[in-house]
Amino acid sequence: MNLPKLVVNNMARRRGRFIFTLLGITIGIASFVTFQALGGSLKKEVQREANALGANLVVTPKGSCAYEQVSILTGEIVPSNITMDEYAKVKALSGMTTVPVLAEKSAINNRPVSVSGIVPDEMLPFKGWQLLAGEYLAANDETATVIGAVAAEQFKLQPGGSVTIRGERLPVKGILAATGGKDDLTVFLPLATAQRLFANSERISYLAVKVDDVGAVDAAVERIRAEVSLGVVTDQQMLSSVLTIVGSVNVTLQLIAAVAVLAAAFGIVNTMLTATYERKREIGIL
Amino acid sequence: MKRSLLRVFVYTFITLAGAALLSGCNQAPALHVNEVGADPAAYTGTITVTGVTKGFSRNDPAVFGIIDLKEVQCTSPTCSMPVLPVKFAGKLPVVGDEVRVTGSFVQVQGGYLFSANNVKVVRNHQIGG
Repeated sequence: MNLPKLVVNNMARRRGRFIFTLLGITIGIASFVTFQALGGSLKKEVQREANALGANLVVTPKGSCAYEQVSILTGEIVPSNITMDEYAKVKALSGMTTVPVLAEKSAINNRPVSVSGIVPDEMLPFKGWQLLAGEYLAANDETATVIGAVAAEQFKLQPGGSVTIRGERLPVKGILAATGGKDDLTVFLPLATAQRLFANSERISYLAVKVDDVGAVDAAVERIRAEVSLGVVTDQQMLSSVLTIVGSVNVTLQLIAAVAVLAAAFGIVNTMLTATYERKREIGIL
Repeated sequence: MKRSLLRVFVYTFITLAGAALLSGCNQAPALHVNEVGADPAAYTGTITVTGVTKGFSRNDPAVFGIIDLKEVQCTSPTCSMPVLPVKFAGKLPVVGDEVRVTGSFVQVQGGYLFSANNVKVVRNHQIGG
């Protein structure tokens, strides 16, 4: 009897053991690869959303925590504590472009959807949006919406259709071309309309600021802080604080993967040892 | 004998795995308080919402308020912490209980109330003493 024949014979004789050992290896490796891939794609997703935000600075209510910064990136509700007066003061600063956003939530067909109140003529050049279909919003108090490409496809919405937000039916005026970020899943309303619907008059969630000279970002932060008592974070700071949270998720995922691989490895070692002890005689004859 | 035992083991494993998968599929995905709180009128029919019990109504002992899971972790003074009022006729959760409430929104004077027909306590977050 030669070695390959011995292996094949034993695999055929102990089919159950062979299958379970194979399953152990497969599940161990699969879970390791899956968790590693999950962690990697989480990080990539955050970086993509930060780029899609299109701002060098984000002005938030003072004392905002990292979770609220994540919310800005993901399009979740952010506390609306910034006044229009504070917005006007930041907007008046030279060397930067400031746009306000009121971040809210609604639902279409019982599925949550992000709603953003924006100043239409300021947001269009700020984001560099392109229209896929229909028309863009004309005025800040217009009662109409434009919708991100993915949301429009998901809810089968077209220009001429309508969405109901806070009990008011709003016509869909246009569909934005895909951007690859959270804007694709958002319903955009003129700021004044959003403030009226969500009973949030004179309040906004955050300000997105684009600095003309990228090298003068730190100076811009100081100028905004001197003007208003609000929190200012650079896109890099926001990215790193969000990545810290993602990092802790990554570590958890890697630990789970390590446990799965260890469990599989011990199972295999156990099976190998048992098999070797059982075949001492056969191995001796070889 | 040994082979039949192995078969029983394999079949049991497959059945249990299948049952676990099916039960996961049947469970409706729960919405979060922050998602539904901003526009409750947008949700129709029976939905499931998950949140953490924050307190009870002084006017109606069958009404308790739940906050978003995310707000439990937020320590910033700017946390808005919107509370969703839930009315339930059965056994009520205690403060700090993470719950999954199933029911629908009903319009009441001054807003909306979540009328629950099922409240499931998931775990306790040890908040509010």
